[in-house]
Amino acid sequence: MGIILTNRMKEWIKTGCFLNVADKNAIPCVTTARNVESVLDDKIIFALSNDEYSVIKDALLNNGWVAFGVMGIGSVRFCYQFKGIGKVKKKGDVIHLTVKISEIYCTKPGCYAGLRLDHKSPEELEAWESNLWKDLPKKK
Amino acid sequence: MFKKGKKKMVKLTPEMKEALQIPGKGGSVIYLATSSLDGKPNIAAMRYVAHMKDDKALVADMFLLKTKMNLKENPECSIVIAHPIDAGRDWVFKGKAIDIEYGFPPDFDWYGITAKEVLDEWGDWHNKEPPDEVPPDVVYSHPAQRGVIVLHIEEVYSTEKGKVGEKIL
Repeated sequence: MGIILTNRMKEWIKTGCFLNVADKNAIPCVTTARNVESVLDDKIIFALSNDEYSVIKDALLNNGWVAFGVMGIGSVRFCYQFKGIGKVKKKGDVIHLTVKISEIYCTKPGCYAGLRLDHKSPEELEAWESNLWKDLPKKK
Repeated sequence: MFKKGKKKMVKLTPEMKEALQIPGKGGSVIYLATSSLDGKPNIAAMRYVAHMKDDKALVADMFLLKTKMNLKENPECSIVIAHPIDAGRDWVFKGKAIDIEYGFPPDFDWYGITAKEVLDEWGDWHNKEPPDEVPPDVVYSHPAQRGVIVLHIEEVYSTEKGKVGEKIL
């Protein structure tokens, strides 16, 4: 069964993320993704600015893996890490990085740290999360 | 142990040092970014952060899994300030890290800092700086520290809007 992000996950991801892509020497390259174009069930489309993209551009040529977590208060309240393969499409000045999520990890300190969640059915994932958290980000 | 290679020098600013503390002391939550040798990235938020000397960032080894595995095979590491993001702390600290675990020889040296210095000061981090500011639904009751990650910072880059990737130090 494919991944379907929970509504809470979708709302927090929309607040912006930090992305990590490793270059050909396995050096982590970290950039911001302040603008999230859209959040689908298992895909995130980040709208990167030129400066944001410049940090990971070369790395993505050799390695599509993207790991990301939410920026700001979401790094405290939203204890997840997502991983997937990213693909870039340029439309004029807009750079779209689409990441198809294949791995979800809980990063809550303690017994759930590192727990892999992407194997859960959408219903199981929703139930698992709502047992721990229900809060949504404040509207900007 | 890793070959350390040539030492690059940076000197963190007072503002950077202030940011590299626990949030309860006016510091930050950070993301620790690592990679496996075959290029699979990892990024995880951390609360126990500190600085030492002019070019070291420290993070507690608590509940680490992939981060720990990655650092065992690849010392390349970045720290980015995750929260707060509106405090002008728009920095990525990049360098080489090692997890100094209990049992390291006391005189083990990582770019000018010894295992003894690190573990004597930060080896019981939970009691030294308890997580009083962490929300109750995120905090944990039984910390299990196994060591301290020491990042030797070689470069600092910007994450400021419009200037992402610009080298600062």
